[in-house]
Amino acid sequence: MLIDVNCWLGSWPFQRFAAGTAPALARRLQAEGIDLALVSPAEGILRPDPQDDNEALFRAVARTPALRPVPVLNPSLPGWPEQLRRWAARRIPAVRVLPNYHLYDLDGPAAAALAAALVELDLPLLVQLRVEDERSQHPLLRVAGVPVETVLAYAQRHPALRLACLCPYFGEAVALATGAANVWVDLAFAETLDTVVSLLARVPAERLLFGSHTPFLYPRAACAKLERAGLPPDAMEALRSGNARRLLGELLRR
Amino acid sequence: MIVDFHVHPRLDEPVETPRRLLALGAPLGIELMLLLGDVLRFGYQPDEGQIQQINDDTLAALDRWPQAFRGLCHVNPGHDPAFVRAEIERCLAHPLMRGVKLEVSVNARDARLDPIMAELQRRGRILLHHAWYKTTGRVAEESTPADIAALARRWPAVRIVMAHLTPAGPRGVQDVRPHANVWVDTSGAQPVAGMVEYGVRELGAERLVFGSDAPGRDLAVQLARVLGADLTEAQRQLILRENALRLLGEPC
Repeated sequence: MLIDVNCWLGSWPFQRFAAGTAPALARRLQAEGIDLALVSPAEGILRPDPQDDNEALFRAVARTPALRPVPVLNPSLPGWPEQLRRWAARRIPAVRVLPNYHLYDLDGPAAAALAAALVELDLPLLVQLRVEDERSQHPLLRVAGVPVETVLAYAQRHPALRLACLCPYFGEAVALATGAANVWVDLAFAETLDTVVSLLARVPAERLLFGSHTPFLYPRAACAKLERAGLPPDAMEALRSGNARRLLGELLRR
Repeated sequence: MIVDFHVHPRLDEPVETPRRLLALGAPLGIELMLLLGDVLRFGYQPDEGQIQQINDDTLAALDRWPQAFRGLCHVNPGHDPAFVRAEIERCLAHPLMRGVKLEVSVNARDARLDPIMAELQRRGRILLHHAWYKTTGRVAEESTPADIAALARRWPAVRIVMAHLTPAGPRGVQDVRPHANVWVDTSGAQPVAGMVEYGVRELGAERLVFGSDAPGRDLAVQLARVLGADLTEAQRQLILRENALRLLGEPC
């Protein structure tokens, strides 16, 4: 089984997505061999309060079991603890945050409170380091990536929190995955010659997650990283699904 | 057979890097690669001696693996025109050299490119030019696709391959669209979904060539943006093979 921890559903103002509905996205992923995907609402990236987009996502994927909804949470809004409790009751597998788009700091009190709440609920946190390559962003929407040092400091302050970093570049992925025991990284933006083999020379295999960042990127690109890695079966199984299962635990079961 | 129109050797690994590229490319069906030189090894303004080192490295790879590589001669248009002309002459004397690669030393609109373009026109050889719409700011005299379009307008008889489809973006594709002497390679940045289809729709599959920008990028990942795009098989063959062979003067 191949589990993708980094997918989106919805629309984005700077890119036209081919798979606009949940069934279409599931078909697109399945065509590339991706069996199960964690999906967040793309509109929630820019919307200050992503709650309406999260609710729309829950409705959209309700009849598509290959897509598991991961709501986007903005802990700088006062109502988030109630939202989080409601989502936990719906057995979400994780929560996704975008500190650089929702304009708060992982060093601040809101993020600390979120970490404590997630630990109590035994939920992992997906931190979106970036959505687009900074060099190719729209000039009116320049958003820097979340700094690696900030993420590592956050992870170290909350050692019981399971934290997956999405879309780090190659060097960032190495720094994150080797910098704290409770940090995982996905493959979507990490790239160099023979990406996975190069990563595994620097990073423990159990810290890597398969993530495609579909539909922003071609899903086949992430699949190609795994297919060409020539890994032994146990390492391949870990990257395809084992590490994601360990991160997400029972939460993957609906 | 797939042709990769955009790979770089490394001066610090003159044998190891080409070997790795060949070993990783073969299972993917990449049988021919165009070496552009280790063009950023010495920064944005390599001096004459450094230019010669870069080209010597490319020439050595062509001699060592003549079946697998073709090459481009890297020059800095800011150098003495006599040196630039002599370096092009030296490089293109090699039977596997196919043209010139320009990076960011001088902008594509600069008149100092004209003697180079005249030489390429006279010889019927290609130019591959870096281009990027970079939100974070240009480096050195970096060219945008609009600059490439201006160059193509001045030199309509020279075939120009503009590097980096995704960083060019829709604006860059539209910049070069009116100029039938401009092709675009698919290399550059992340494999952003939809850009290859956009390029095919706006330029035609006849004007795109597959490029990886390896070893900075992953051959399989960069190939996947063409294999994973919604294209007909005929369009894919044009991008992966036929257009490149024609530009390089290789038998199709």
